[in-house]
Amino acid sequence: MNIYLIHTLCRRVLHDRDFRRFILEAPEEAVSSMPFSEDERSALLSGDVARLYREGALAFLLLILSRFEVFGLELPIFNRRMRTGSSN
Amino acid sequence: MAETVAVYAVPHTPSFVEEARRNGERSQTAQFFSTIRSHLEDAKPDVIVTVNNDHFNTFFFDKWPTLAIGIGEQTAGPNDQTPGMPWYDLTIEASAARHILRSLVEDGFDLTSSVDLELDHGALVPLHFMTPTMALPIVPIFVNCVVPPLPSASRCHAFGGAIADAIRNWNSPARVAVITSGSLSLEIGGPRVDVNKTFGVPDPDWAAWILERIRLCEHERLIAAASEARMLDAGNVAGELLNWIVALGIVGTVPPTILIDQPELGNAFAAWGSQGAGA
Repeated sequence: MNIYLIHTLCRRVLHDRDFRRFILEAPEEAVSSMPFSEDERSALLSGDVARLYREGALAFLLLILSRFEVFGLELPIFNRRMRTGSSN
Repeated sequence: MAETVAVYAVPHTPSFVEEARRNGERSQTAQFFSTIRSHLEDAKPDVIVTVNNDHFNTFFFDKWPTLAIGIGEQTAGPNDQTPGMPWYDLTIEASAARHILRSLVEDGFDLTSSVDLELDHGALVPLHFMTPTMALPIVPIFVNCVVPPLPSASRCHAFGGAIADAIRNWNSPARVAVITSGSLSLEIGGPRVDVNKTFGVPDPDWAAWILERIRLCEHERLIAAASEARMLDAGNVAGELLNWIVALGIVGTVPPTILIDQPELGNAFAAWGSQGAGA
């Protein structure tokens, strides 16, 4: 996985208000605007933060997705997936 | 020559700002910071040197420094939307920053320098509570505490000593306070967070052991134990202990005049006066 690109997306959610609005309104289009592989794109859109973490993404940056509830990652969902390693 | 009149090691937890606003004087954190702020006001500094880590806001993986310093004329923040914190514009004491940079490089610490940077909660949460008018100029220094490989604890201790020397050799009558910040045991967003929380304190015993070493001035014992692996066992941002170890390098083997534990958050608050500030 291109972890640098995953990290870049997380950072853009925090720092780029237009991109944040875009990803909240149209997540598939927003993810497609960056050069992710189909595997990376699938993991992101399904909010599979446990897998992204296992692949090397930093929890600190992944938490930004929960802060703004991107990909449906409300805190209880994000928290459960990170704590249990589950994709569900 | 300049004088280091006080040194601090405090937390920079971003949620503190909103929590203190919401709870006012009932906020434990606000009370602890009030004690530290009184100590700072008594020290009457002219300049504040901040030592903390960035959290992927000022720097990113495209350029990630181990040690860095801001040497421009101005800075601002928070650039990470710290909840409840106003936007602050701050002056950098550029003459001090450039002197400290040169002195540190001459001492073998090859810092990255930046004339154009903003600050995140790491520098600004302590300043928000301790100098809310932001009237004092600062010198922002950064240590990588979160992305392995981390600088070693012994290196950070020596870095603190070199900062103390740089301040002492600055040709200025300024009174300088140093504010370092970070947590001792803390996991953010990772597998060891508490249920339905964004954080956890994986190893409060480690945090307590650290504070006992500081209280007893057993710095060498602490430095020997604080390997990268040991620190990260205590949480994914527990490498922020390195900022505390920089403070120990500045003050030397002197116990803090104030040491307040906040174990439920993996935090603590410490202050040293001029007798323990590079004297």
